[in-house]
Amino acid sequence: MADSMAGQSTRAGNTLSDGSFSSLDVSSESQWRTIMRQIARHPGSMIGLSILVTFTLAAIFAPSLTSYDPAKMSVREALQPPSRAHLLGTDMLGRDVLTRLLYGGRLSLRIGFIAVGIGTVFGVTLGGIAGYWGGWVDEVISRLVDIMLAFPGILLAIAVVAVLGPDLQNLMIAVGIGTVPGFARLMRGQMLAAREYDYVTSARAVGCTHTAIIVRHVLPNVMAPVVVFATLAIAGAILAGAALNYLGLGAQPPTAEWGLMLAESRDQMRRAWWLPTFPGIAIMLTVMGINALGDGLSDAFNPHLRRR
Amino acid sequence: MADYIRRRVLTTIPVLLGVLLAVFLMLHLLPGDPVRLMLTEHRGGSAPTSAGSITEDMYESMRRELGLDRPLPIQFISFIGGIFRGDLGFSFRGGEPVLDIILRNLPHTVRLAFFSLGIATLFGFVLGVVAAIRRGTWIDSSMMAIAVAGVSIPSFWLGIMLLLVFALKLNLMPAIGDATDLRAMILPAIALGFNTSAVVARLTRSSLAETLQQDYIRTAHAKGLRERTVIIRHALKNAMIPIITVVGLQFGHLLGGTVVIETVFGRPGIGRIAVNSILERDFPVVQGIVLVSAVTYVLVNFLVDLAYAWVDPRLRFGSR
Repeated sequence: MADSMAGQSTRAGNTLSDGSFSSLDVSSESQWRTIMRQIARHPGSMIGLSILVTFTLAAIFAPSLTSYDPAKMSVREALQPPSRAHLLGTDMLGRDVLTRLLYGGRLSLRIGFIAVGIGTVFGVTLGGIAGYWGGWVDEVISRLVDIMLAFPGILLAIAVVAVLGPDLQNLMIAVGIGTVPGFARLMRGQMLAAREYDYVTSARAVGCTHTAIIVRHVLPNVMAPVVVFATLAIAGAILAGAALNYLGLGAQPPTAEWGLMLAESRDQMRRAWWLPTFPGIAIMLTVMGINALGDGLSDAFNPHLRRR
Repeated sequence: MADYIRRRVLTTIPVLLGVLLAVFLMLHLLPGDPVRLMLTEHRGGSAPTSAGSITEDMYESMRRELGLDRPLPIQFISFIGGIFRGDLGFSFRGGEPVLDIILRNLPHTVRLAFFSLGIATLFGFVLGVVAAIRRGTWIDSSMMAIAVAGVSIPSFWLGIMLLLVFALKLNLMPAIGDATDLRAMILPAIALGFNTSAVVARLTRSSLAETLQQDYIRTAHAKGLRERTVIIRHALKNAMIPIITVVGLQFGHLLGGTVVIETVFGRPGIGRIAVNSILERDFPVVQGIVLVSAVTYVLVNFLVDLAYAWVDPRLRFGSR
């Protein structure tokens, strides 16, 4: 079981595998405050967090940041290089690239969060059930997860899109399903470890129901690695979403979406270098920011690495 | 070892069966009836429904011809039987056997994935080793900065940029070359493998750094061996174990990644065919490609596990 886990979470794996996180930390301030303090000290994650906050705000306030309309065409202004009027140039239909990037950010972030939301809910539930009950339930769920992991890379998402049909909503579902096995494996491992802790035995001894044990006692203690994994998964989901959109398997024109913008730049590359360049930089910065934040969170949650 | 192989085979078989079942159900989970879909999508795709040409007779005879009137479990068994005879069905477009389409395109994809894996592993390994030896210096931090970028750059965008700079602006590389031309494979291979080299670099660094702190390394130093000998003969050998596993697993990811890269570079291959088939709603081809990729991936994982167990005896004799 653990063998194919390695590929899924090489980035998260080294800190997640030791299983013991928050329960070791006995300090007067709340756990979240400790973590916030740790993140504030980690320069990488601060940079990541600021990129993420900036991009999120830019996406939310896109209409007030630009006077252009992301869909309004103006043939006379087609393919203009970056200038004062159009900071990042215009595309073949005369639409302002910066405006389209700002609006496109809404979609990319939405894809990342919704897909990972789907993955977290189903993955954590499946993995939690498998790890808590063990036995044949675990056996069935683990094999199911193995089967999902048998579809390499974005192939699982592609297969799902093939079944559901290519559009933006199905793309989010597909990418979300693609993240389920990672969450399930992680949660199963966490649950297996938590089951052995004294606090679970005590809770059982005083007559707590299974639901109460899982929800009130185990979940809060195993959330840290899930949060780290989810952060990194959002980055992965944004990448996968952009790739599928690039392939035409998601958002359809004239939607302003980063992957789709890259696809649309294909025939103009020779004449307009700015068209393929900026949407890619936007994707890269977003993903890098989230990854940096995830790395920082992972350090912050890991008591062994804490710098006090 | 034999016992380990037996155990591994026993866990691989249900997964393979599950993959077959999932792929089999793909066609049945499609919204709409596969027969109607086939009648409307077959040859050309323009729906003949307006002319009212799907009669109940046509529908029934097609259903029977495809064996879709039989119960699902029977259909599944004959689906598996078909696979063993090399029958993956026929393309909705033109009716060519799916297996022929895959066999014609698969070599291009596998060649690209292998080439890319080779470049990426070499690059990532060297980067990781240098970073681990020079740990804590600016060399280490800049190498790891490259690695962080490597996991954040979308591979298809890197491909587009390489194409823009090296093929269109500098004219150093062919933009679209013959599929068998090695030169035309360099840019796609770099784009495809950049992410993998970052993963390999990070892992090599942490693995080697950890190994370098082991007691037997201190012993080797104490014996008066040269730094170089210690690293190559003693440390690297043990640090290799996790790297082998990840490199093996990455092959599957590269195989999946070719889907996008082949489209970027306009190269032939099953990835590009898969995308086109989804857009053209040519489901038997999609089904066949998903099947072949997943089965290949499972088998590669199986082999990687065996290699892993062979290198690391603890696994073989472990309690698992």
